[in-house]
Amino acid sequence: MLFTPIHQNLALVISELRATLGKMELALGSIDEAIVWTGDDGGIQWCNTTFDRLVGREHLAVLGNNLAHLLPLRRSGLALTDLEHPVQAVLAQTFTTGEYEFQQAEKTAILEISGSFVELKNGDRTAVLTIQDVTERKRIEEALITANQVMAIYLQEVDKVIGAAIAVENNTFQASLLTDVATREDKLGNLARIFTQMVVQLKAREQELAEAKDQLEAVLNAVPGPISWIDSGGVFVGVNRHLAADFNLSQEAFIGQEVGFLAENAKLAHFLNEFMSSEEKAASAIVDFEVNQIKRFYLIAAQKYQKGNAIVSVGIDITERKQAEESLRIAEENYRSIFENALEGIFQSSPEGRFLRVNPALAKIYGYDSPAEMIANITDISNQLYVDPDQRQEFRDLLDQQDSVSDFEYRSYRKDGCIIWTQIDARAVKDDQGNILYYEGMVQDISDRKCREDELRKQLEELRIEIDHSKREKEVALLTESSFFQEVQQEMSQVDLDEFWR
Amino acid sequence: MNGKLTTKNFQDLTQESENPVVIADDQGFIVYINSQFTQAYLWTDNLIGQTLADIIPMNFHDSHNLGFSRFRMTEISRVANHPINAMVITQDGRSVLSEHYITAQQVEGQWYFAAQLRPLS
Repeated sequence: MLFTPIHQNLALVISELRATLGKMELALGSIDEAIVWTGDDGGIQWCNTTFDRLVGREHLAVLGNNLAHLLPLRRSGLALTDLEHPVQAVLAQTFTTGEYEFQQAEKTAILEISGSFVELKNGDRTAVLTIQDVTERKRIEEALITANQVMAIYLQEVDKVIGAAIAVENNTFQASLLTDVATREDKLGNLARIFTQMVVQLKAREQELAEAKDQLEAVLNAVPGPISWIDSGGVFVGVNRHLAADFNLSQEAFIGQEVGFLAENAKLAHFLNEFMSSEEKAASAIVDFEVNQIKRFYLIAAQKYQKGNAIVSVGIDITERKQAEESLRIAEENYRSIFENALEGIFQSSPEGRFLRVNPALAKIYGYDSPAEMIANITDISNQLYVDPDQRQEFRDLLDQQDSVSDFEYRSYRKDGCIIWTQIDARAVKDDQGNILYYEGMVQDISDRKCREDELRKQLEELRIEIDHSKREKEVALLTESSFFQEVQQEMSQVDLDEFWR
Repeated sequence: MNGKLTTKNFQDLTQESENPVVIADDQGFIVYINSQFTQAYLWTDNLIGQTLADIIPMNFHDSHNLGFSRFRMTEISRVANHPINAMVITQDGRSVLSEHYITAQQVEGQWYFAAQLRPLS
């Protein structure tokens, strides 16, 4: 072999340097960025394998080529001249970094190029360029920007939907607010369409509800009595105008107040609270409270609804009826007092001949201890009471004909069988069709009067006889002597003494 | 001299090659050139002991040094065992495009590199 030995120390240094350079070459060859450096003329002196792949050439085919020719660049679509190429700019020390387009076989790559200028002591000038293919990154960035723009538009339209929701809340919603969003084909567009449709329908329902509410309020306000709605907590949800007016308050003043907040309607509150706590679904009561310092009575009817969690109560002013009832009660009391305490016998009897009611005075007239005893015992007035039952029929006939009978006298049996004279004043009480319901009237015991009348009649008879006898004695002579005797005697025989003395 | 460049061991190269041959050691120092090399590129034996950089154009120095150094680290060459075209600097400073066929071989545990050359211009 013809090998020449090398100085051992120099060989060692060179070996170390070779090792370092080897590592550097390996390191630079393994990175994703293309690295290339050129001489002062722009000719490529070294590049890594990433650069080889970038320009699509074998490594040795790259070396020595002018970088500006091997890597022609464009900027914003315009081709760079050699002088504008980054490698020349680096050599001119006017370049740091830039972004360029590089047309590859099948695509346009976006390259981010940075460069640095190196000048060695021996005068060698080198341009070192680092080239990064940012096509994918730019695509992602642009996609991101596009996505951001789409997202921004999306968010703007989401804001419109939110704004529309707020407009619904503020009662300023118009379907045109979501017209643009509703044209979208995605879920947001679908949401906008559904939302608009729902709100429009809701508005229509609200309108219908408002009209129904107006109608209901008109009806409720037309009701001449208090109406209130109470929730499960015993709080007024609403009242009608009548109830509010009763307490000189507005309808709104009741809303949210507990039912007992007015001292004047404590009874109503008590009734409603008890009803709410009960299992009943409906209840009614008569309560009174002062309205304008006047006590008024109301029939309160309450009904639960909303599954028993709320109450509606309706009041009917029955003050006049209560007053009428009170007047009637007093009148009845007065009548009962008169009935019970009258000296005359008072009765009601059926056409069939039974007493319906008798007062104590009548029972006493007929010798009974009480009205009840008399009613129980007399079951056939004609035969049990009338000495002459035909008079009972006469009495009934008179009432049939003239509705009332006065001073009808007849003889009656008392309980003990004694006969008394009684006088009756009575009338027939008839229904709308003229059928007799019962008789009522007053009875007087006229036995004493009848006795006196009989006694008087007897005395008159005796006096008449005595007078007749005396006259007859005095005049008999004259009469017998006069030509008129026969005529007078005839006339006297025709005189009715009873009628004459009456 | 114009025969096809093929793989041969260094012994054969030095004795049989009709083409210019240059051999360098593992540090890049030229240890052998044949007469055909001298004839083609005008270099004389005084090239022995110089580095390969003397016959490689300036623009290829860095690539050569780094590739040479990488081979020492990896023993993998991107230029060996297949023909490549590259410039060779002549003694008088001209650049002659030449086909290179580079082979690497260990001799007594040390790498040597031989290049058979065929001037193309």
